[in-house]
Parts: sequence; C-alpha cells; structure tokens
Amino acid sequence: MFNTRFAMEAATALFTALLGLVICVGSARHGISWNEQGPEAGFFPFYIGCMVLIGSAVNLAQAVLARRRLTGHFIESGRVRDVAAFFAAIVVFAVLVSLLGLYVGIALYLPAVTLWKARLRPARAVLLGLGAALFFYVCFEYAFKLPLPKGPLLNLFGLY
Amino acid sequence: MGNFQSLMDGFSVALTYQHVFIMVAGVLLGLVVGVLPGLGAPNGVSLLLPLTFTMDPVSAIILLTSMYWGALFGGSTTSILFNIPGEPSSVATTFDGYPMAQSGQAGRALTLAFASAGFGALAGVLVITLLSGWMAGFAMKFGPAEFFAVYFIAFAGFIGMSSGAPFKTVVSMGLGFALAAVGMDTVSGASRLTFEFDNLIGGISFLIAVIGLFGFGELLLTIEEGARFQGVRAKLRLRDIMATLVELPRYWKDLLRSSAIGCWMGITPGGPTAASFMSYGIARRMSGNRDSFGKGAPQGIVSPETADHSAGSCALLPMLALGIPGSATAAVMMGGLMIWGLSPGPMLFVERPDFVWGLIASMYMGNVIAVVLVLATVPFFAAMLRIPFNIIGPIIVVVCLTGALTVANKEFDIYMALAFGVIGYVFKKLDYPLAPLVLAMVLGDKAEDAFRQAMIASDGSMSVFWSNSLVTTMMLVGLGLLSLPLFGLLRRRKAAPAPMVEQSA
Repeated sequence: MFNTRFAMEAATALFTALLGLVICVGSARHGISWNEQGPEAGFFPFYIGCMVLIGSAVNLAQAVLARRRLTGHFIESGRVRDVAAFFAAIVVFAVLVSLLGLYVGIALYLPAVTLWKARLRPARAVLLGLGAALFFYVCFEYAFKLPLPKGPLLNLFGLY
Repeated sequence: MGNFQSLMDGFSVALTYQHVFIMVAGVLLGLVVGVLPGLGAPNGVSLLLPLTFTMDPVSAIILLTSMYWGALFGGSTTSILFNIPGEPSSVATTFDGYPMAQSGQAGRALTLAFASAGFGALAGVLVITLLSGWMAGFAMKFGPAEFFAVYFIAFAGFIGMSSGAPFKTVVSMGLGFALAAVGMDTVSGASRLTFEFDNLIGGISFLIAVIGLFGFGELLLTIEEGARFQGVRAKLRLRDIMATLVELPRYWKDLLRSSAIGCWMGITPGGPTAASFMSYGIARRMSGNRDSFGKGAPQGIVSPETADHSAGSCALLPMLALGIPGSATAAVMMGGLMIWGLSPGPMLFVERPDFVWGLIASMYMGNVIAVVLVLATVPFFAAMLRIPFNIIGPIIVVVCLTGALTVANKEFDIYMALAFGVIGYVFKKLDYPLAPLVLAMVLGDKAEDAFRQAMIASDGSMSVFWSNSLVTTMMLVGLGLLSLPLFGLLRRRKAAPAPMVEQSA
C-alpha cells in the first residue's frame, strides 16, 4: 500500500512541508522583522520556509488530484529487496568506518558485498578489499597528503 | 582587440608541462566519471575538489574543467554503445547513436559524436573569449540590487523553464536555500537552524549534498534499474576515424545551428540537457529526411552533441563573469572558486586576469586533448563497463564515502551524505529537480547578502529593485520567467517529447 507512487508523492510533500515548518520555526528564533541594520537574521530563512510550505501544499494538492493516475508502484516489487540490501550495506559500511577507521572499513566492506552479491571467489574478493584499501591509503597519505580517520586497529600499529 | 591579447597571456599561463599533465589526468578521470553510473559530472567535480585545496587555483580549476569535458565525452560513449546515457545531457545522443552502433557503425557514431562535441565545445569557448570581457565590464556597474536581480533571474529561470511541476522546483530550491542558511550567519553572528547540534554550526557543505544527491542517490537508482550493460563492441580504427572526420563538414549547417542553440542555452539557465533536446528537435524538423531520425541519422548525433557541449562550455561564462552558474556542475565549480578565496564576478577579471584567461586558454587545449584521448581510449572504457555492477557499484560507494570524508574529515558528513542519498533517490523518482537545490545551496548566501545590502542601502524599501532601468528590466525578465509555467498550462504540448530538463550536467 505504501509502495504506490501516490503514497510516496503525498509522503514526500508532507515531509517537505514538515521541513518548511521546521525552517520557519527555527528562523523565528532569530527574529523575522527589521531592525536598524536591516532584515534580522531570521528574515530570509523564514520566507524561504514559507516558500517551501506553500510549494509542498501545492504538490500535495496536485498529488491528491491526480490520485487515480498515480497507482503504479514506486519501486517495482521485485527490486525493493535489492535496493534496500544495497543501502543497508552502505550503512553498515559507514558504521564500520566510524568504529574501525576508513581503510579497515574498506577492507571489510568490499569483500563482504562482492562475496555476497557478485559471487566473487573468496580469494579475489579479499584481494579486492585489501588492494582498494591499500590504494586509497597510498593515495591519501602520500599523494594528496590528506590524512583520513584510521581507527583503533591501525592506531595499534602506530599509524595515526 | 584587448581580449585577444589577454587570451595570449592566458596561453602563456596555461601552457606548462604541469598543466598539460593535469589536463590529461583530468580528462581521463572525467571519462571514467562520465562512463560510470553513480559518478556524474557534478559528483565527480565534488569528489576532486577537496583534493585541490593544496594546489594553486589555476591548476585546480584546470583539473576540474578538464574533468568536466571528460565527463561530457564519457557520457556520450555509453549512450552510443549501451543505449544508456552516462550523463543527462547525453540522453538525446541515444536516439540515433545507438541505432547507428547497432547497425555495425559504432566507430562512425562515436567519431561523429566526439568530433561534433569538440566543435561545439570550441565554439562555446570562442564565445566565452569574445563575450567575457564585455559581460564583466557590464557587470561592473552592478550594485547589490542588480546582483540580486541577476540571481533572481537565474532562479526564476530554473522554475520557469523546468518541464516538470514548477512547485517541485520551488520546494527543491527552497530547501537548497535553507541548507545554505544553516550555520553561522556572517552578518549577525547568530547560529541559524542548527537546533543545538554542534555538528551543524559550521554549516552543511554543498559538496556533501552533491555527493549524496548525485552519488548515492544515483547508485540507488542504478541498482533499482538492475544495471546490466550489454552493449555493442567498439573497435575504433584510424581509417574509420579519418573517413568520418572527412564526412563531418557535410553537416556544417547542423554544426553551426546547434552551436548557436547550445551557446544560448548555456548562457541562460537552460543547461546542456535542454540544449541537446532542443537541438535534436529542431534538426529533425528542419531536415529533409525526418523519418531517418531515430534510426541512425548522422545529424541525429551531430546536433545534440554539438549543442550539449557548447552549452556546457558557455555555462561557465555567466559563472565567471557574473557569479551565476548555469548548471549544477558550474555551481560546484563556483563553490570551489569561493573556497579557494576567489570570488567569481566582474572583479575577478580585474583582480586575477591571469586566472581567468589562463582558464579560458586551458579550455581550448583541454577540449582538443579530450577529443584525442576519448577516441584513443573508448574501447578501454567500454570494456570497463562489462565488469558486473555488483563489483563496480561497491567500489563507487567506497569512492563516494571516502570523498565525503575528505571534505572536512568529519564522520558526521558520511551520514549526512547518506541522508542526502535517500533524498536524492526519492526526489529523482518523483521528478523533483536536483540542480536548483545545488544552485540554491551554492548561491544562497550570496543572494541573501545581496538582498540585505540592497535593503540596507535603501533603508528597507523594496523599491530599490525598481530604482533604475537596468534593475527593473532584470526584475521584469525574472518575473516573466516565473510566469512561463502558466502559459504552459494554457497551451497543449505537441507530439514532440517535452525535454526532461534535469540540468544536472
């Protein structure tokens, strides 16, 4: 029921309307009228928030009016799983990076997903992960001189 | 004329071994980015930007623009060989490019595309050379009210000329402005829209937004579509290339007309995508053999490619001279300029002519290099696409996530980028345009500053925007653009497909 185009149009319009409201409320804190120096800090964002609210209302109305037409699936039922799985893997990767640093994260994420989804042979998958981690390490530490979070594991080896 | 001398000076700045090397590297990176899904031109430029912080601005902008040309060329490769546009601006190339490739003439299709693209790009750069000095001089007379009016035109143009629902563009743009407002306000020092989150005090970087919207979002879409690249094999023999190059001048009318369309759409906020569709439509209408379009007509390749590349080049002109980017990628580049401490606009021509003309000179060379490189490496990139997406996809994820980290070394940015990814995915599926969001994020602060300064100068009276003929004309143009959708509603569109003006090139 939620996977229809109409449901998503309406939900998105409501979501953007909520954002618009948040923007308006957030700006109101800083004053939305004039003082001697011109418009107050909240003036501009407040009206932007109004713009978003009005736009969302129109989008919602248009979605409701076109309800009959918007019956198709938002995501084709066969594809929901693949999209969700792909995204979930990225989230896990992000958490891994937070906990263990970027390079360990890469070395874990790439073999895991290529083993699972691409049916890569284990040896190749691990090689890919390690190779990519090494490549990026050399790239950023030496070529671009841009140190990135290395996490506790690499810290143990004295690499900060 | 003065511009020619400046251009020669620019060449002396640009023609160093280091810069040529950077151009080659940039074009190659751009080809990769253009060919792979999930790595479009705006995203690619965003990913490279943090890496340029240690470079000098001239080298950095040469790298970014070379990548841009590479991405535009790369997008055409997949259009022709796989019927999958690598960039939104190469959608129109699939109409006749893929059928021609299917009929065994892949080499001819590719050469036609790249050669016309090179022609279009060079035409665009020529226009930039001729007009930039004039435009910058014109803009020197601008005060804050005039600048705000120009921004107003740019935004109104996006709203007015988008073929989807205009209010979706309004919402998208509004969100972009709001995102730009998050963080410290330069005028009052107040921390706006941060809601006590320390992470937001520094604001939200547009780079993170682009990586999320155009990177992760695009990847999700590709996974959903079940990317399977089964394309035509391409072997480019020198003989075929030469034969096609000889054939090209036959289409001089299409080349010139499409260049003109592209230049116009690039300078005004139309963008390369709209330019390519418009050029294709007009070419079909004006040709004697309308029916051959869609089946592999050479003009069906020449016209959109020329227009798309000349628009891509010309989009940089208002960015440099006025500070108004005409496309999402130009917006990102402009953001880069601001980060490097340069402020695009007329003053840039006065304060840093070496930068501006070095950049313009590099555009000539960059495009020539791009045409040569793309012809040489097409089989390689085509082969790269045969790697299953289940392997390439995660690699692109790693690139995007790493890119998010390079911006400010904050883990929070990764999650931010993921959130943008979801938004980008949903927005794209529901036809909310993303380019206005990026544009608003990059220009938001400047537009607000211009507004505030104009208001301060006029003691709070809105009449400052109607105070002289220049600013009044511009405001009227903007209002006119805003009202275009109303006319669209009253008119029925004809059978010609309405261009999907995504403008994310």
